[in-house]
Amino acid sequence: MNPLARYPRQLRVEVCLALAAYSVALQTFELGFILAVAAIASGYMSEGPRGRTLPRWAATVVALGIAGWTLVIFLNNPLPEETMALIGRLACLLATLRLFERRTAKDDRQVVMLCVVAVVAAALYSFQLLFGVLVIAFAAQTIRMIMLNRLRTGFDAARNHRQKIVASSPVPPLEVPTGRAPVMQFRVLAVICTLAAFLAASVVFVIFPRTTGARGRTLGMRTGFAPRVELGRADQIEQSNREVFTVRWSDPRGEPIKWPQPLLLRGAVLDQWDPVDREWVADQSRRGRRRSIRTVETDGSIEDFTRLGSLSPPLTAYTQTVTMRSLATERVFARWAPVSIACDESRTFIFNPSSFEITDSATGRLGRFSTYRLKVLPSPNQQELLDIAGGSLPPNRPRTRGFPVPGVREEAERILLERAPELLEPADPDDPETVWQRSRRIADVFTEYLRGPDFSYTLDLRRVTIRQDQDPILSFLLDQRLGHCQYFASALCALCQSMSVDARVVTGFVAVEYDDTLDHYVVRESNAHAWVEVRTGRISWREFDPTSSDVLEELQAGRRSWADEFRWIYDRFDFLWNSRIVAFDGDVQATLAEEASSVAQTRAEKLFDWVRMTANRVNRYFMLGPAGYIWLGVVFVVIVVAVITVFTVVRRRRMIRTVIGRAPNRVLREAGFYLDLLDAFSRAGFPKPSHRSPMAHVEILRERRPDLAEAAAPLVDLFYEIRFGGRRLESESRRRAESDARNLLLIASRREAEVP
Amino acid sequence: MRYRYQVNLAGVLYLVITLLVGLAATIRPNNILVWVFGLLLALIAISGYVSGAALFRMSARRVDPGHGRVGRPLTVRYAVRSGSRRVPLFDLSVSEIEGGSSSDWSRFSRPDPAWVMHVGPNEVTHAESVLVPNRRGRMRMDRFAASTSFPFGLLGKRVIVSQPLETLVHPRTIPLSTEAIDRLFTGGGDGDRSGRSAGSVGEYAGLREYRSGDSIRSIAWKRSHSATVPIVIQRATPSPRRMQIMLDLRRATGELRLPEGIDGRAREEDAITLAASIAETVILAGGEVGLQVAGSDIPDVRAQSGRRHLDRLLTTLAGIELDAPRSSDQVSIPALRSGVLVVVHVDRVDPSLGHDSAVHLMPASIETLRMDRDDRRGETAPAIDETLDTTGAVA
Repeated sequence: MNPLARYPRQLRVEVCLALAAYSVALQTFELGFILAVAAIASGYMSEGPRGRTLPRWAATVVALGIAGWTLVIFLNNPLPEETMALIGRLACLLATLRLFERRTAKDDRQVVMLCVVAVVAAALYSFQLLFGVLVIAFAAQTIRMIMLNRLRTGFDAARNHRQKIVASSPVPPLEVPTGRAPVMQFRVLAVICTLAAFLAASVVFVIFPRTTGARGRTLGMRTGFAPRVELGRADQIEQSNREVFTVRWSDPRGEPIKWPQPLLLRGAVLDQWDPVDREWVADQSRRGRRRSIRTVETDGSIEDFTRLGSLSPPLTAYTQTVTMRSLATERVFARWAPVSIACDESRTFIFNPSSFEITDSATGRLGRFSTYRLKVLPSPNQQELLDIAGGSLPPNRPRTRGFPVPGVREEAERILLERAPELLEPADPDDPETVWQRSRRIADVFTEYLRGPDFSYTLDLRRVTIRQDQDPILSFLLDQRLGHCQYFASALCALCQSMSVDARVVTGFVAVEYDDTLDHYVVRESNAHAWVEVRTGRISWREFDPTSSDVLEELQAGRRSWADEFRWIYDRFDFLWNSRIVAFDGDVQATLAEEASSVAQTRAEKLFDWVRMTANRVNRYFMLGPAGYIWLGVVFVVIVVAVITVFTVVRRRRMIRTVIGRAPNRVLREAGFYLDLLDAFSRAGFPKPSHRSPMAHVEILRERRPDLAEAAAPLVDLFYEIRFGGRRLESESRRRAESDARNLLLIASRREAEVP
Repeated sequence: MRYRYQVNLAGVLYLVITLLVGLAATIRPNNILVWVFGLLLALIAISGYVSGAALFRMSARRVDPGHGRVGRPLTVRYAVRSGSRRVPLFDLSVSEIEGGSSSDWSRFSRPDPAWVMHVGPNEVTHAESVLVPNRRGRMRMDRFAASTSFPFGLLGKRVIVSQPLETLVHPRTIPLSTEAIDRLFTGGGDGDRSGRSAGSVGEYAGLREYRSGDSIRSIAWKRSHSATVPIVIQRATPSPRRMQIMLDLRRATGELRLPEGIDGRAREEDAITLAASIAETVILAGGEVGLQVAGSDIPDVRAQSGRRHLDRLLTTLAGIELDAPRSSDQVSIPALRSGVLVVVHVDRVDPSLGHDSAVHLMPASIETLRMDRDDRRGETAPAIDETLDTTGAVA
């Protein structure tokens, strides 16, 4: 048994890990499964007892075919974002193919390199926990594999050299050490290297310069809440069943109830379309909105509610209790319309009365299993809304002047002409009720239109081609008619705004999964949703969801499985992975640095205080007065010097023991000059080899450095007398010997330049 | 010891990949890429530390290989000691450094580097390097280098150890046909001498009076009864065949009378090879061989048998310095009764060197004496009568 005994198997493990990581990242399980089976089978087909390897020419032909096929795929659909995925797939295929060839250590290095390319390419597309675990496992295996490959390279080179020797008699074969010791020491070294590399990598990970607010945004998409609606990305949104939080909905008596309709929990409100960046943003230009923003502080008790506006929670208010599970966000998810808030931690919340948005002032800190409660009025009247919002009332007419994308209004007029032509007539501006009623009816018509059979819901937009010169909302309305909830909500909001109806896009979660046992809703990342609010009164807004609730429920029902019962285990780790690793950005880095600095400063202050108090106490005990501090300083210096001296002596004695082997302490103490002697030889450029005796070395030295040899000879004699002759040195002799050794060092240094 | 670093191609590629991954991690804030980048950086540091901790505390020395022989593998061993108390040493390659001040590597084939897979902490392991000497003579090795690029092959580390060592390379020996060697003994060389050992072992040789020191068991009691003094039985063991080889190197290389185009030095080496081959064959067959080098101040070697004596003979032949000045002084011819005399000449036969029954050989004779494949299978060797006359000169 030697470290190379299982080398081929280790290489197959390496390839399989790379294939698994790539498959998980790119969701190509069929390809990964087939290639992994092939990789495992290669052990029997090419390296088994009757194994046959693939001829080099055949492997080259197949490799060229794979490369050509990949190139054709790329040329057919030259998407830059797909390039690395193709490269990764090519690397996976080539690495698997290579396992069937007759390989040298150099070929194995290429296989490892191909695996690394595949995993690095996959890292651009995924940030899942499972992928992260596979990357870590792959990294550990790669380190071990590289080390094994070095051994294999050395062994192959030595064996090839040996085989090339031509002699008239047989050449002894190359021997490889066997036994447990080499294997165990290799394993231990590999483990230590891996741990050290992981530790250092983590340090680099923490201190690496970051983009503030990145939060893994450039990674692959997956379902989940985002406080923005960004259209224009034609990729597939991965379903995520991660549990985000739970919601308990209680009636005014405190009894938990299940809401008859899907529960819409508002997170962010966006009312302005940016045609350049192709995203919905919150309109920041309205100064009144900023001025009216309020801050609300909770006292850390989950029972003590703090009012968001001037309205005290009426007895008819419902209670919404949210327990965060895995989402780290500053947003508070609330049902329309929140009246007051309580939290189990002391926090400062920001309340926007115009949109009823609530956010935590500490960015990204609301999470980590904290709980907050809200008093909510599901159907507030006008006065109650006024009390919550406070401030000045908005004008009793729509503020929207239209939608900034040409073509949307024409489409809206076409729809209205087709379904409700009377709504094309403008309402009497002097009669607000007519205006608001018209807004409501227009929104109803558009909602029905978007829920019609012409539009389809999908999370896979890879087949959709969005032209750069065309607005994605207009493209959705006129051409593709295919998209997810953000497209539906954007289209409804755009149609409404184009007809001068106040509308805004709301993102948040829709709770549909009710746990009857625990009496609460379970909200998952896949429940992230976008819908529309249309202004239907001077201060009231009404929700319109153009996405069919049937579609949402159908999607939810299709994803349920027995594994969801145990999903919380995975979710715990997934939460840590996402919050600590994936979401680690410049903000978190700065926070971490501040905390570390604060901790260090606190510790330093505590240490300083302790030293000062101790000094005070000692000084008082001995009643030394002000001069006592000087004495304490002197004692401290003496102790430090003593410690350094002891350390130096012990270290020097250990070095002597290393050089001359086991010897009595007396010899170690008296033969200290021998170290200087050896140092002088080294300094002169003639280090003494360990196999040569000091006397023989001095004799050899006589030819090259007679002066040094002349000076060293008495010291060598003295060393022999101490080491082997049992001579005891008096302190005077010892000092003289040490002085001579120091002089020897000077001689060695002085004549160094003259040595040829 | 001198320490050296060298950058491998693999290390350069690794650095390029690391930079690319770092660039990707900078441009695209992907945290997994950042971690991978950190890992790649960490491996560079760990590689330097691990190999440095093990290699730079290592000590190595070359073990004297004794002597080699031309054309035969010579195993040179290196005792490698890992000085580190904790870190083992892996994948260590030890190779001789050519082009040293005193070494002459044209004499040898390219040395095979010694490779050792593992040296445990504070352990000594022997690494073996095999080289095949091409020429006879003194072999000088000056420095050797111990190198490794373990654990990751990014950076090669090298320790150069200076340890001058001289060893002898014996001349090439060629297996000769025993029958052809038998022919060389035609003129005598055995049967007329008794062994030096006395005692009750051996064949009956005669009777004599008792002398002090004779074993009491050798007394012939019946004959002693009628004699006035004790009579003992004289016994003798048959003497092994004895050969005295005289190598004629009286003429300097430049003065050899050779046809145009023939390298004189090569002929001299061939002559030495012939002498060595005859000596080896005779000694391995149980004979005694002595050596005399005419024209050189190398002392004569008395005829003896045994492998140790063979080594002595080969060492003498290996020590012949062909560049040294030759002397053409009178050569003492060994006595006829001391065995058969074989004179090996370089260029031409000189019958004055040796008595009448001496056998004179030229380097070309080796082809005639050589054991061919058939002979090695036990078949009859070709007769050499046609190629040798009474003076032994090649026809």
